Amino acid sequence: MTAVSAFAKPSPEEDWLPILERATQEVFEIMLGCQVKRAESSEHKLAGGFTAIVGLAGALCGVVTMCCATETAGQIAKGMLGDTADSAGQAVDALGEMCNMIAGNFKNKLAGTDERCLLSVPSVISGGEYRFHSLVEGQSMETVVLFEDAPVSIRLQLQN
Amino acid sequence: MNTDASLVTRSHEENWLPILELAVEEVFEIMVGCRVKVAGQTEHKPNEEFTAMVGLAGALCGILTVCCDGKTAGEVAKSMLGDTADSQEQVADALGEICNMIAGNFKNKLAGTDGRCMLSVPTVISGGEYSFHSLAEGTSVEAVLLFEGAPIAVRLQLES
Repeated sequence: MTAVSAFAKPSPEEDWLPILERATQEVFEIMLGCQVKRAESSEHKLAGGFTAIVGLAGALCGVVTMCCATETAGQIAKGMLGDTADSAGQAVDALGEMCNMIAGNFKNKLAGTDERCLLSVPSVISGGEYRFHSLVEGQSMETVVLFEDAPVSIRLQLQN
Repeated sequence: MNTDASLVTRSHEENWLPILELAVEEVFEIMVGCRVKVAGQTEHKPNEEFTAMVGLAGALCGILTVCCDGKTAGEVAKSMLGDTADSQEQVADALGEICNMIAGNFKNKLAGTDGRCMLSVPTVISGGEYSFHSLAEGTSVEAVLLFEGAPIAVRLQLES
C-alpha cells in the first residue's frame, strides 16, 4: 500500500467532507435526476441491506462505502435503469456503479491526485445480517443523504 | 480504472492459478507457520461466514478475496496472534492481513507489474446471512486450500 505523503490524509485544517457531500449530490443528480438532501447521520442508523465498496489505491489509500436498505437499493436501480429493474442483480449493479462514480467524482475534485489515485472494481454486499470491518487506520468521514426519504450513507475511510 | 492492456491479455492467456496457489502457500507458511494443502474446488466449499477482500488498481484492476467459516477464521487468528486472539475484531484483522499479504505476494510474482499495480486497504465482512458480489467481469481464478482440515477459498477476480 504505497501512499504518497501529500495525499495520505487531509491536514487538520483541510476538511474533505464538503467535497464528499458535493461529489455525492452531483452523482445523484446526474445518474438519478434528483437533488438529495443531507441528513444527520445520528438520526439514521442502517442495519443489513446493501453495502457497495470501492477501494482507493496509490496517492490515497482507503475505501469508499455506500450503504442503504434493500428497498432503497431497488429504488436506485429503478431510477437508473427504469421501472423494469427489479432483480437483486440489477440493484447490485446499480449501487456498485453509484459508489464507483461517487469515489471517482470525489478524487477528481481533489487537485493533484491525477493519475496517482486509482480505484478498484466495486463490490457489493447484500443480506440481512453482516458486519463490515475495515482495516483502515486513519481518518473517516461520513455523509448521509435522503433519497426518497430513505437514508443512504456514504463513508470515506483513509489510511494514514 | 486504468488497466494495462498487456497484463489483461496475459490474464486471459496465462494460467495464473499456480502463481496464486504458491502465493497462498508462502503466506500461510510465513504468517501462520503451517503448510497448507491445495484441495479440489468442487470437493470443498467453505461456509463463507468471513470474507476478507483487497482491491487491486492500476495495471491490474480487480479484487482478491479470502473466504472461510467462522471457526477457521478464529483458528487462523490464534495461529497468528496467539491463543488470546478471540475477539471478532482480532479475527477480522488477522484474516484481512492474510488477504492483503496474499494479494501483495501474488502481484509481486507477476513480472512487469512493478509499481503499476497497487492495493487498497483490506476490508472484512462477517455474519451469518450475506452475499458477496464483485462487479469485475473478466478472468477469475480460485484456489481452495485446507487449513487444519477446513477449506479456505482464495479468489482473484479481474476486470477485462
